[in-house]
Amino acid sequence: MYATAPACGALLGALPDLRWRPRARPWVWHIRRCLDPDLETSITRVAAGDQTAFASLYDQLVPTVFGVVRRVLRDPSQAEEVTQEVFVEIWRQAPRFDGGRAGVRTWAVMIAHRRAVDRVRSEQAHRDRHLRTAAVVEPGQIGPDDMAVELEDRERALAAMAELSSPQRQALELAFYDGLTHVQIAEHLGVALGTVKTRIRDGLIRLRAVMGVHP
Amino acid sequence: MNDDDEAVTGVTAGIQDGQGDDALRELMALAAVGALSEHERSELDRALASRPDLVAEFAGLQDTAATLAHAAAEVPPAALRAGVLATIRGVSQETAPMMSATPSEVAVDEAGAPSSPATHSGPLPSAAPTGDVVSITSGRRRRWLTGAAAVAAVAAAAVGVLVIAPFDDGEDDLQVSQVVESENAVVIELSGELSGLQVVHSPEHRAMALVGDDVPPPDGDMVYELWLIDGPTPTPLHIFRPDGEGDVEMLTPEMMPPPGAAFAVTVEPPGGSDQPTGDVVASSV
Repeated sequence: MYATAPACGALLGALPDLRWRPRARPWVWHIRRCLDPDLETSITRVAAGDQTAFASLYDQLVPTVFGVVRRVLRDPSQAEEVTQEVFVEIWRQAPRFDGGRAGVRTWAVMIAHRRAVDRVRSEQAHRDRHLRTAAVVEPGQIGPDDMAVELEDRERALAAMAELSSPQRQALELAFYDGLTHVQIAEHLGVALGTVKTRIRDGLIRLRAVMGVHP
Repeated sequence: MNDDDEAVTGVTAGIQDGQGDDALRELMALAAVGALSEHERSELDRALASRPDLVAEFAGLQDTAATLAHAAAEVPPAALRAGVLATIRGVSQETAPMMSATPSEVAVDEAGAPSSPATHSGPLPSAAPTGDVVSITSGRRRRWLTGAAAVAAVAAAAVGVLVIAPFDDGEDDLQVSQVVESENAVVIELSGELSGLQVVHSPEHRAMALVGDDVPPPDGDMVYELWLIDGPTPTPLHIFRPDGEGDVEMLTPEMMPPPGAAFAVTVEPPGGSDQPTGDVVASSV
């Protein structure tokens, strides 16, 4: 379909600001497939009802899915319950997965995050909730050698976050891990709404720049 | 409460006043980390539905936000796996997004004979057995898209194709030229022994067009037929012959190609066929 597809390494090294450019879009999808070729194949099979492929998808995604759910919910048994709900939704929605947008891993993360935050916010509506400061959470155990890739991903992500300024990191964590809205973050920190928006936006841009550099 | 209301008004006002892409980008960043309320998020989704150019950017922001998830990765108890796998066995899947304005799909039973038109509900038909992404096993279809090519077609994972949210207004008398010239048009080349054909789709107009240049006519009074391949059963889209100058222009309004779809052109007898019978002379794979 395209004249030639550049090698994955060359593409990732030159990862630009991924803004929309007509005709450049095909390269965006190519980049995503470079990142997770197995997931892209698995999701297609899952969309066709392949349960073996789903098990493979589970194995590849569960540390990230469970990790984010656990981090948001804190409670381990709730985290397991919501993780199961997330994978059921992944199974159900696989035929609607739009390969033209975010990759499989991000899609799954967003489903997981949204469910976990919804659960937290609905509980918050019923009782006062202690706002936890962004405490350092001990990294959970990542298991044996076949988890080596996952460990690398996690270490890289942690290193990238360490490159943010404290206010940026704090704002991102309050939003992502604590499920606060930008209004609630502003209240919690006692700063202006505009300040919160700027910290989050600048923090994401910085994170994107840092994550785009491959060793 | 009041602060929330003010914030919501600010969001809506920002979009409506057309304070520009900066305002939308700010909202997109907030949405990517889940910092918008449900209401604000719906507002943003609605704004993005008419801005396909920002959709890819939003996806990029979500990719970046996912970094925070990777940083928290943790292996769950092993017992969870069995529970999840057992649970999904009893759960049916959503159907893939359906297209509008096309002839009804003709379902095929396992013997390859057409059965009455069926709408998809529940899991996809068992014509796609485990291990095959698309199973095309009926003898007469083997000629044109077999195993590996079919897998490649679907596993190409929607290169360059996009399904967007429902549109607001129909276009009166949309022209092929408008689709082709629209700013974010995506072009899919069809290649094979028949050259010069392209499928173009326009998110802006939510329409597809088949265009061709210097396309040789089929033999005798045979016709070409364009098919959408989005599963085990191809969907007929257009029957056509190039005009005297070798040009082809066919419009499919109110339709966008679903993710993972491929296109193929076969030669068919006059009036076309419900299912491909002739050789494939061009395809997008």
